[in-house]
Amino acid sequence: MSAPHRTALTIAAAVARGETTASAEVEAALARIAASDGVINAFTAVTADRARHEAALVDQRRVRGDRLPPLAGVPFAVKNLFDVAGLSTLAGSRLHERRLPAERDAVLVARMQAAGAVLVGALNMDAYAYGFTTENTGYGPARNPHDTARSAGGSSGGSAAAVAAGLVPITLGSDTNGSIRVPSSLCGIFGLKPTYGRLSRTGSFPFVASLDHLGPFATDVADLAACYDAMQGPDPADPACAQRPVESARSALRRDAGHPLRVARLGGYFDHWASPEARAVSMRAAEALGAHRTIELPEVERARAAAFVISAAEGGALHRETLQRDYDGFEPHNRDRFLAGALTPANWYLQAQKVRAWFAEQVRAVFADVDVLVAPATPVAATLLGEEWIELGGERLPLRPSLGLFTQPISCIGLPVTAVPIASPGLPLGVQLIAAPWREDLCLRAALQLERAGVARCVIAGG
Amino acid sequence: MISDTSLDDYVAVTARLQGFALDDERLARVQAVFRRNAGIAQFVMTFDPGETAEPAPQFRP
Amino acid sequence: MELNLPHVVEELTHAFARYEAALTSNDVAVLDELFWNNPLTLRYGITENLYGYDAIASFRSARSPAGLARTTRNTVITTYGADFATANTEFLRPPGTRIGRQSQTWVRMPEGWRVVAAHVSYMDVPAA
Repeated sequence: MSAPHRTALTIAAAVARGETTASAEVEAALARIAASDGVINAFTAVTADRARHEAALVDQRRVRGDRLPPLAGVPFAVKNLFDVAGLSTLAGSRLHERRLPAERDAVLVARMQAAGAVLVGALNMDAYAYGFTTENTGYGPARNPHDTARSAGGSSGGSAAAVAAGLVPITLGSDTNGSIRVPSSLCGIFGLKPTYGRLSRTGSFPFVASLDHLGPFATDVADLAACYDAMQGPDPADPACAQRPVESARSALRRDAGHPLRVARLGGYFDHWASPEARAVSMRAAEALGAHRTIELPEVERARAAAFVISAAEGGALHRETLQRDYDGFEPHNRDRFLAGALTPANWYLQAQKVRAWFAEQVRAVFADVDVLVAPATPVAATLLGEEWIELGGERLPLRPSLGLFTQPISCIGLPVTAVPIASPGLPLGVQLIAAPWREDLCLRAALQLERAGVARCVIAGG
Repeated sequence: MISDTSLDDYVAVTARLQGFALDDERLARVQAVFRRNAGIAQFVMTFDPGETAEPAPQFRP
Repeated sequence: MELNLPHVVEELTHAFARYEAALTSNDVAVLDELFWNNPLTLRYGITENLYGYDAIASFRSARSPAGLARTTRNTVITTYGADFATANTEFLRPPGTRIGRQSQTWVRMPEGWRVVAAHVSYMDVPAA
């Protein structure tokens, strides 16, 4: 806790040079978790034995003179909807403790391990991923390391809190309507929601098959790109995976820019529902990226409503049997929402998918002459745990669903987004840098530009 | 135009049809959620996306 | 005087639907057409009280087209005889949760059905 924070790539370089060992890094991570996580509550499982074993293997390889993979010796952790061999995949639910342990790691966890990263544990989340605040009745809330009375965001709250508290430099999470971007914003860290279908979902517990994405959290853009690259690649076992070859983000970031990015700021809906602070970070980021114009996308509210209906219907169907059998054991915060979702008339769901396709086509046209769109990631900074209402756009709205106001219409159409913390006084607040499908390179390049300009900055709490 | 009472009736009937056994208190909560969902869904239903939008998620054999 | 003569209700329903479509797509020409062109016409809007057709037309032409989409519910159209009607509706504008109300008084003028007075407001909901 007293040592300054180091990024994943810094640790990997130090391990490769023999300045430190993987075993020492893992012990330090385990010590940080033991010291701080009692308050933060990011971790639901600490895989100490596995971590020590894997770290020892990395150290043996180094001693043998093997060339080490890019993340060798870096401790990481994953949202507890990822399969981890030997653990029951909780997906935030106490009911899942009685499930048989996973036989093998999720594909993305295995790929991180293949890149040399060492798994130290599983992370807290909103039950079944239906939430934006990680207020989990069964496992307790994930607390924001910058102010532990406040939410870390959700549903990947544990993933973001673990990074923001400096416990591990990289984590994995999921994002269906905002669950990577919302916690990134509230915790002041970087997150990447890749294009829908980019990364394999094999071995992860689902929420909404039509909208689920998986992705990394990190404290800088280089780490984000390195994790993303480590996880890319086709997976025939996942029918939703686009089976694209690896398109190295690290190489794209190293290449000479060529032409400056064409950037525009999203206004209209994205201004109307934003607090003054959220509007300010959006403007600051846009200005720093040389954006001269503001674009208003058509029918953004409609796209958000479509994503809402799709989520309710698919989420409800997924959990129908559990709700029939075990309503009492189901997370009280969302069991009624899942149940109501299971009653969705077919026409609503089918129309929502049509609206989604329409909106995707509209936005595709916008990207003809823009590379990156800028919008706030959340309407406000981290709110107090237990808060029910919020004032936005001159109206009183229910807080929890409203945290996803800006993320939901974008993930509805599967666009790649980098969530970037914008340096500002007070609580952290982030923006979304949004690119056309399959152009993660562009939204990462924009993020790097903001980082180099000092406009994007990740602050580790207590570090 | 759908009245609140017919939405509540729909929930009561469909919940039973789908095999949920809900007591009055649980049913009332689910009805409240569904009424809110219906407002959001109506916003989707009243929009005409035209013929370019594919009618259903594509199945690839 | 007969209430809700079927053919009158049908005409008014059609006119009301035209107004709703024009409102949510900001079709200013149709909005201007359906209000009675007269200094006695008035419209109390959400944030403005407009007296006379000219003030209302000015408002329509200056209005931003963004964020006008809404859904209506509990629409009540009542016709009194052949030439007079009231049209009232609730509306919602997601993601907002406020319930809006719109009241219109329609009169059959020589040129067709026209709105002579209108009022739009949001309902104050006691804190839950």
